[in-house]
Amino acid sequence: MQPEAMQSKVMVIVPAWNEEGAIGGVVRSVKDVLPEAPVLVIDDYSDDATVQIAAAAGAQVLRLPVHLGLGGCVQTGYKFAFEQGFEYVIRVDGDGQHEAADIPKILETLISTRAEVVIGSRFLESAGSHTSFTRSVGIVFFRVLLKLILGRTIYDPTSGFVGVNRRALQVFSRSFPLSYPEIEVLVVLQRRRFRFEEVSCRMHPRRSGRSSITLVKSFRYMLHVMLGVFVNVLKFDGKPLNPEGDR
Amino acid sequence: MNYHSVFLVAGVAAIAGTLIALRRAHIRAEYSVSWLAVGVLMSGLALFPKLIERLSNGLGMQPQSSLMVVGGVLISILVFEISRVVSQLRDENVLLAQRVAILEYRIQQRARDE
Repeated sequence: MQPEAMQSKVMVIVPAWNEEGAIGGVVRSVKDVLPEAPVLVIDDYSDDATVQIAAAAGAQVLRLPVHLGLGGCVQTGYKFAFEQGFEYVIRVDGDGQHEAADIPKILETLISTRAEVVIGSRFLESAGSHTSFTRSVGIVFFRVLLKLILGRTIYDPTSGFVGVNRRALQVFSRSFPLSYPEIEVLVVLQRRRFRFEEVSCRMHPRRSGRSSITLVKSFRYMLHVMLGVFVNVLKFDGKPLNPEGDR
Repeated sequence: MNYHSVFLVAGVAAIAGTLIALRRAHIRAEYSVSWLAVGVLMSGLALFPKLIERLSNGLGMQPQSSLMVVGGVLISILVFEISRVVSQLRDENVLLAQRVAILEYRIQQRARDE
């Protein structure tokens, strides 16, 4: 557990859309690990009881007036945390797949390495990886693609278990991929000369509901992400941006 | 009906439809310009057949084919312009939704604190 003074600099954000079955447990498990850190659930216009259950579990709930999709939802949390002056933000998904007990590991890596972004990876040490065959194929594909672009292997490029520091928060609160953010963000980070690290984390099967990822959606996801990555590579003219976005 | 007449009818219809939509405030003036330009261009090509002949000679095509090409290019430009505007609106919509959510949360928080 982190000292209380450090926890006051940390906000945990949980993007959620129709996660009434899992959100209460997610919020409680995060609060068990970081009792002093605020947990902000960003509700992406759910039509179930996600908002009420998250609030009852002790989360602050920020409700979007329309459904924005994952990127817009996560960026809302980053914007809010940046405006509130937080130093570190940990993103945990609302479906219960991420192990809250691993949050301190991400936080400690953020602080000790001074990397702008730390990714919780389920494949670094094969620590409890639960993922479908379709997703595994996609992960391997993007691992190879990103290695070509970034020059290093990212073992879990689709992980949503991510910690960022204030420098990254400043950039993401202004500009963040809207549809499928995880992979595109890595290219954006590279362009801004941000450093990112991976730490091994446990992941569980989702606690309730069904994943929205189908075969057709997976194919669309891959096309979208490849286009997003390609666009970000096109924007890169060899002169890296500094973290504020200027050359 | 020959192809000149088809182009004239389509051009006049584009101009008239745009003006009616403008009058009823169904379309904003800045987005009507491209439709009016299409209508004027189509009407001009229909009223001045020599233009079509020159165009066809330049493209090395039959007049009917060159008109199809012109129509296709115009439609492509309009669709692209619509995509650009929709993308811009989507970005602005996301920004507004995020700002509304944050402000609403702060108002509720202040009400709870008081």
